[in-house]
Parts: sequence; C-alpha cells; structure tokens
Amino acid sequence: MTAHPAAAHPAATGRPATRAAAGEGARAILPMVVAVVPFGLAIGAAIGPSALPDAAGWSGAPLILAGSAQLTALNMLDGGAAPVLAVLAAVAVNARLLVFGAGAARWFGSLPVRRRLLLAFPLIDQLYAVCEARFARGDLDVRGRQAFYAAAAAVLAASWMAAQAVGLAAGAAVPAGAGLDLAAPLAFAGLLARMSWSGPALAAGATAAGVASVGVGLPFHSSVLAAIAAGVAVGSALGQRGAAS
Amino acid sequence: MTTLAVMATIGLGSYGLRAALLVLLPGRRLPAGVDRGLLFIGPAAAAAMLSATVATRAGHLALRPVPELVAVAAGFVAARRTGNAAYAFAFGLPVLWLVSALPL
Repeated sequence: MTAHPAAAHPAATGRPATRAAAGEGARAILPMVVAVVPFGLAIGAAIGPSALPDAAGWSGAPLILAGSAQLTALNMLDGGAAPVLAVLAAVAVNARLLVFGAGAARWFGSLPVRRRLLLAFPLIDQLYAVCEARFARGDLDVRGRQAFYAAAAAVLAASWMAAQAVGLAAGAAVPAGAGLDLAAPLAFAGLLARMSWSGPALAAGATAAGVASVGVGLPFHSSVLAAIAAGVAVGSALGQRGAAS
Repeated sequence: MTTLAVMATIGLGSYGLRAALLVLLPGRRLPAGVDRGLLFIGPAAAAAMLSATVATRAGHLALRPVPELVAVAAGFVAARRTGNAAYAFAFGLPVLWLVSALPL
C-alpha cells in the first residue's frame, strides 16, 4: 500500500504558505474582476458627459471603492441635489458594509487593531463573497487569510480604478448598444448565481428582491438597506426553525 | 462643497461602516444568531441590488426592456451552471446583442 502523493509533501508553512495564499487570492478574485470591469467602464463613461469635473468624479473610485454608492452620488450631484443629500444617500447605499465588517471580524479578530483598521479599507461585496467562500474551508490560518484577502483586494481595487479611468478616457467611443449600462445587473446576477441555494437562503434572496422593488420610494435610497435587513431576518428565522426541527 | 469633498466624505463614511464592527467585535465568536444571520447577507444583498437595478429606475418601479431582461436571465443561468460569475457577462452581453438585433 502506497501513501497518497500529497502525504509525501506536507503543507507548506510560514512565508511560502503565506505567499501561496496571496497567489491564490489574486487568482480567486479574477472572475469578480471580469464582473466589475464593465461596471467600472460604465461609471467612467458616465462621468465624462456629466457636469462634474472628471478627476473629482473619478476620485470616488479609490475613495469609496463601491460602485453603487459612487453612481448614486454622481447621479444626484449631476441632477442638482444638495451635496449633503448625495452624501447621505451614498452612505445609506453602503450601509451593508457594516455587516460585512462583522463577517470579516470572524477572519481577522485576533489581529492588532491597527492591522484591522488597514484591512477594513477595501472591504466590499465581491471581496467578501470570494473570501467567505474560501475561508469557510477552514484550512488557512490568520496569516494565510490576511495574505489571501490583501492580494485579492489589491487586484480588485487596481482593476476597479483602471476600468473607471479607461471608461472616462474612452467615454464617447463606447457604442450605446454595447450594453455597458447592463454591467451592474449582470454583476449582481452572477454574484447571486454563485451563492448557496438552501431554502432559507432562497427565501432571504426572494424577500430582499421584493422589498427592494416595493420599497423603491423610501427616502435616501434606503430601500436596498431595508431589503437586506428583511432578507436576513427571514433567512435567519427560517434557518433557526430548520435547525430546531 | 466640491465634488471631491463629497466623494471624500462618502469615502470616510463608508470606511467607518467597514471598520466599525471589524474593530469593535472581539473577534472570537459571534453570538449564534448573528453568525447565522451573516450567512444570508450575501444572497440578500445580491438579490436586492439585482432587483433594484433591473426593476427600478430613478426612484420608480420600471422594468428594463425585454432584451435586457433576457440577457440578465441568460447571464444568471450561465453563471449558475458554471459556478463562475464571469460567465454572466460572457453569455449575457452576446445574448443582449443578439436579442436586440432581432426584428421584434
């Protein structure tokens, strides 16, 4: 009887393992990069024709690192809304980041506060989804998780900023029928399709989708936040009932 | 308030949201209820944003045109079958171009 080939090569530890985790993170985020680049191009292309200064509009890419909030602010400012309202609406759209922070605390809770403050900066939907799926396997220590996360974040953020810059520069050259304005729905459809579809998760998604549509008139674009809260509440309640039975 | 100041303020607020619980939570174990709830943030957030971008426009209920809905559905199915989000674009956009070109 021969040993499994993998058994002859014990898992790498220390720096090589960290480097391997970083490489894995950089590769794992690539499908998300493909998904966000058209969205970034679309936002960049939208900045050009607006009345806003190009550089200031683009600055939302590195400063906010969240397309839906940036687009919300750009649309409101371009439409003449008061800056304070644009800030409130965009931050409300980003309120979901609060719960992503709670999720990331499970991965990085043992790290020093300064390090956690640094790791908080790039936290966003796509990065959270990729890390959650990878870290659930439970075979990375905190250094490995940190390396995976940082590499994935660097690739995602660099691609995001570059895509917006290209969209801004190319602007009018992109044909109207190219479908760039469909980038956001396609990105979210792809994200949703990859998620677990247990009964409670399906219910959470269906509830959130319904509330986001029905509550579209809620002030400060808060329908998305309300939808997420309702979806999580329904999913949790059904999950708890399933666990109890 | 300049556009740059607005972007910086939103960035600061967003950073506060990201960092708040990551820094404040002790990091060992979350209460079971919170831990369970976190499982549903992903599906709920993705579904909410999908719904908001497909079924609403400028603060009102408004479905996108049929070719775009067909494209999003095709992208969703492709991503679901392959397990790769990038296929939503690889299939969705060509479907949009094809359906838009049909003489309907």
